[in-house]
Amino acid sequence: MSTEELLALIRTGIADVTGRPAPALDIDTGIEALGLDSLQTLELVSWAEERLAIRVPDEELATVRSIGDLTGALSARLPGEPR
Amino acid sequence: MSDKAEVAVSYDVDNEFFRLWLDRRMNYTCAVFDDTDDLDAAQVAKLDVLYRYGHVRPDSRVLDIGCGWGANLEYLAVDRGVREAHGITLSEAQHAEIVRRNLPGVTASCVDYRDYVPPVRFDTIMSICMIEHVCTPQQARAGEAVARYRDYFRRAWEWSRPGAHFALQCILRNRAPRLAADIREIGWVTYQIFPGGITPRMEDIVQAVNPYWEIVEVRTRREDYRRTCEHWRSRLRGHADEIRRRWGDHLLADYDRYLTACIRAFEMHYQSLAQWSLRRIDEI
Ligand SMILES: C[S@@+](CC[C@H](N)C(=O)[O-])C[C@H]1O[C@@H](n2cnc3c(N)ncnc32)[C@H](O)[C@@H]1O
Repeated sequence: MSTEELLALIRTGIADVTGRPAPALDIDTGIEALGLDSLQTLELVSWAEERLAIRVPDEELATVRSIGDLTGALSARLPGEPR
Repeated sequence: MSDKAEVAVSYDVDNEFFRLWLDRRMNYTCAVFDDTDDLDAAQVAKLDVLYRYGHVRPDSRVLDIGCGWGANLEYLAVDRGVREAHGITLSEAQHAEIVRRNLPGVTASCVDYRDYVPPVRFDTIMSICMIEHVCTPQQARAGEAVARYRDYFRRAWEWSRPGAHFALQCILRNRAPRLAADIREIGWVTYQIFPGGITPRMEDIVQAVNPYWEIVEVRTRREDYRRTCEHWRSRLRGHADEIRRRWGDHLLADYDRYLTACIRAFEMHYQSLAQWSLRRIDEI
């Protein structure tokens, strides 16, 4: 899965979690700048994990601050992807 | 950190409300059910553990940071004959209750721990489920948790004498919930019942005690906290009529919801509890 595809998936997830259309984003976008609090971030990660059938370790979740952190944490767990 | 107004949301509801469903001395933290199923006895057992972890002796000077309604201060003064015990709380209602108890050798201040200036250096520091108020969810998210906790441990170090011990108890944020309903309930408790606070992760504490305190013993008690919350909830429900009459349906419903969320959180490993015996590192 390319970074672009992951970003598109995350945008869908943000819209799902917040109930608002997601703004444009790239890997440098801060999670907080998107108006997500820590619980919504957790909901977003769980949402993405479910779609991708993967699980990010909890201690890594605690340090997710940007969209890039999130795509990094997710893609590192996708099978057959270079890290 | 929770400010004074946020602390008031958590603890200034009404002392008579909390008195109805906490144990006799009003411990508002996890009890220890090793040898009993009685809440009063289990709260004493908890304080026994922390007394041992803090290496307290009758002639010790003890500081209790975040002392609640004074359960531990009363235990120290009455059950253990400790000479001097001082408590600090940020809640006016709790402070008034401690003054009302008029315990021998016990003093208390209503002050933010960051503004506290100790008159003496203490032999033992105790702090039972107060560190949950030291870092906000926003600060944790910004990666500032360890620095916040380290500042708290540094102060405790400065307020204590060489050779001192620190008996610490805290809730732990453990596994992250993945179920949307659970995330929502935990969020509701975090923001509505304990605004301004978040439970620490164990690895944050392990990092933050350095370079001030050596971890000598740690014991987790996830199931004890589930049982404590079950006791609280059944006592709350046992007084449902009176609570409705005196404080309204809303308060009863909120506290039932909150305790139910906590029971689930301990069951599901979202939260755990740790008791720590720390020894002061004198040469830093
Ligand atoms: C969960 S209660 C625990 C009370 C008590 N240790 C017990 O076991 O029942 C947390 C305590 O921390 C206190 N606290 C929270 N923030 C504080 C602050 N900034 N300075 C001093 N005390 C604070 C509250 O006032 C309250 O007494």
